[in-house]
Amino acid sequence: MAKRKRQPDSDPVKSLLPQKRHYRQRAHANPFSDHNLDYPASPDAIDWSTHYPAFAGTGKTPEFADVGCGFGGLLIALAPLFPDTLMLGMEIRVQVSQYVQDRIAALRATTKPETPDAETSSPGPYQNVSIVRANAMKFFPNYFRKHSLSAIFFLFPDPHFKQRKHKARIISPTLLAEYAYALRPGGIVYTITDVLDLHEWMKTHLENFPLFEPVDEETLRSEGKGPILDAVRQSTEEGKKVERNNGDKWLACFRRIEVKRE
Amino acid sequence: MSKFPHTRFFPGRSKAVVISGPEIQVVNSQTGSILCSTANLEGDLRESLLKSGPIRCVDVDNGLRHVVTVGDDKKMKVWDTESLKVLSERELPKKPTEVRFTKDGQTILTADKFGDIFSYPLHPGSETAPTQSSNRPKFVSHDNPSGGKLILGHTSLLTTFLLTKDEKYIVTADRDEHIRVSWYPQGYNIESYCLGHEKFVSALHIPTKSPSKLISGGGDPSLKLWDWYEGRLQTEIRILERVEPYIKIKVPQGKGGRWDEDGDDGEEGGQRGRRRGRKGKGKSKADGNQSETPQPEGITEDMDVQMGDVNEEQKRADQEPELETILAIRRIATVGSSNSGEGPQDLVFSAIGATALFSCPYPGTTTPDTGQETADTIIVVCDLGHPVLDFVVIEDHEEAGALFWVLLDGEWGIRAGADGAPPTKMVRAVRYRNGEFIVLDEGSESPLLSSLNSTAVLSATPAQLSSLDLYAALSSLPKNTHADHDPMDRSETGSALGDSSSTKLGGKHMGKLKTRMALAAAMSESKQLKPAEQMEEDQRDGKKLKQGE
Repeated sequence: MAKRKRQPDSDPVKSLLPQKRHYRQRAHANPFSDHNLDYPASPDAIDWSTHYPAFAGTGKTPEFADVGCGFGGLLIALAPLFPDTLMLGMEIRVQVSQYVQDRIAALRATTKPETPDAETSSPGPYQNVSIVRANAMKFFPNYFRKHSLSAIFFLFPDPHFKQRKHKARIISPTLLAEYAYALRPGGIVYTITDVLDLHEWMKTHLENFPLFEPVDEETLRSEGKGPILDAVRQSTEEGKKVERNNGDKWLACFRRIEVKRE
Repeated sequence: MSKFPHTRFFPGRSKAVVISGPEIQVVNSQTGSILCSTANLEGDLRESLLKSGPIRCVDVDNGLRHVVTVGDDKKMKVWDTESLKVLSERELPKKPTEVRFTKDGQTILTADKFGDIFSYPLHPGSETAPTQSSNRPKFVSHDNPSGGKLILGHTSLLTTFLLTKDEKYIVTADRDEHIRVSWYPQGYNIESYCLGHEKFVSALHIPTKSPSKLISGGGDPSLKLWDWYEGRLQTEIRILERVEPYIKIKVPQGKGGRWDEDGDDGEEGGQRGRRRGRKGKGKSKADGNQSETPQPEGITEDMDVQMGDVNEEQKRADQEPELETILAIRRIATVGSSNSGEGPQDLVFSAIGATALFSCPYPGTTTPDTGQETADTIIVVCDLGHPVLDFVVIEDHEEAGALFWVLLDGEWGIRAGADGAPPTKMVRAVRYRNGEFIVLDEGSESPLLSSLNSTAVLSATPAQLSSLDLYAALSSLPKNTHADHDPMDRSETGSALGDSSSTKLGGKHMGKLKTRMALAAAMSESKQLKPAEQMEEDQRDGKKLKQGE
């Protein structure tokens, strides 16, 4: 590997966006430990207006949840596409979630609205995205009410290769119940990974879960979700890395359905 | 000679089952004579019983025909109460925290420390082969040695659970403050959550007379009353101040739960490095001891010897860790009927390590004397002098009131020495009527109760007694985190740049601060970059990243 070249610090006034190299952190976190997490006791305890000040008073709550959002690539890509949909990223690593926080703050401050007279309609760029440092495996229902989400994203999650670590994977039969609870019927779960093993794992468990049914890319595109699929593939840091290395990406999407009592 | 306190008691019309340490005894309810006891087992059977250790989880079916027990060895045993023969033995995937029979006695449900609920038929054989040996082991998410059916799972230790009256829903509670209501047996369908607890939940109760309500308690200062179907909090009953003085079992401060061994693994790497770097500097090490999980006593002492410059005060604190009072509700029950006939009249509850039984009016009813709402609930206390391990409602009459049998840790306080102390009672009878407790005296004891305090009390070795670990939950349930430390709190941003101490924080930190300050400055000048410039910025960022990798 080539030796890392340190670039001299650029003029601080010029670089208003946070720099990833200041926020590096090892890629894994133990989802089972207590951590020093600050989380709401229930969705009722959240003041979303601190996350989305431009939407204060609208009563809106997040509709897209990006679980393990990493450096926030998906959120940033989707924000301008769905300016009226609130999106929340969840990331357990302190440094990485701080990066996304700083990134969103900087983008909100430095991006000009695309149309000059935007004041009337759109609340301004990137006002609809936010991030929480959270352990989604433990506290997903603390953030989202029943059926409040229309999309949940699991993009390039930690593969936890060792069999004895499989229990720490973000998709498991028992956790799917929590995602299904928050997702409204008709809502979509997007999964993508470059690890074939993990792809098969996620696909198998989602297919076997009674509240989800597979939905193919074509159908989603015909429903106008093409831009979302493109963002899922290309917008994240992991996605770009896989592309650079000419790796494969495995996409699998599922729709939330309802079942009857036995 | 030490004695086993009784940890659980299941009364029935003709016979009763009592659990003490590793032993099960079946007692005649009328005469108190012991019908059957595992203490009489011999040879291999006895050995295997003792090997399983103290019974941690137990339940008895409605007709008192079967007992299900699990000890420390994760072996679930089903016993027949006629002969105390083991009908089946099944290995559970994880250590259980609660086992329960369904109403018909044909199914056993287990809750475990990994957070899962499994269902097993009463008699093994009908279930499918263990999934471990299935041909696609790589998709197995849960070890399942005995082929149990996975009903649901939390990502947290399950503390307790129950089925609703109609057995169509299962209510599960965990160490991370959640109460989940799922369909039963279709546990994948979550109906609601009862969220609002800020500490672990350790006790749940659905009143027979008001089956749409749920009462929960745990480490929080209040009990909570819910409409469980809607997941709506209805009212709270503040109990902490009344209960606290009776909690006699204290635990070393900050002694963390068993899931915390790996600590804050997810914290930034830099912090770990810094921590490492601090080692060897005596002064900061002492700080470290305070802010992190205390070491077991012996080890801390060792380190003190090595570190000359630790001050005396610190030393003393390390040697005798400060004891903490932890509230953990053990059991909640309801008795009587309200004046309106809808719902129960009173709530009765106990807390782990507390020497008393507590009661208060069932919320929603009003106290007849003052007409006050339950906001200032009057909590009646019945101090029994020894930690209450459990209690059982023996009868609940309209006129005579309720009768409780309270299981006590009769050995508590004697253990320290004093062999000649008079034997303490392991079970006391308490009458509760019109908001008053009356501890019944010895003369009025039924033959069964006398027997529970005499012939049914079994000897224990000190090692067996200490392995009971009756109050372990007080240490393992609270979280091992520090409320004041929020890693996401970055309020230092504004001033830290000029502060010389912050320069120790390293280049990464300084870099972040610089960028943030730059942004703040730009904002105040209301300077705005054009989108194009910003894109450039983004790309440059990406390139740097590439080089870094």
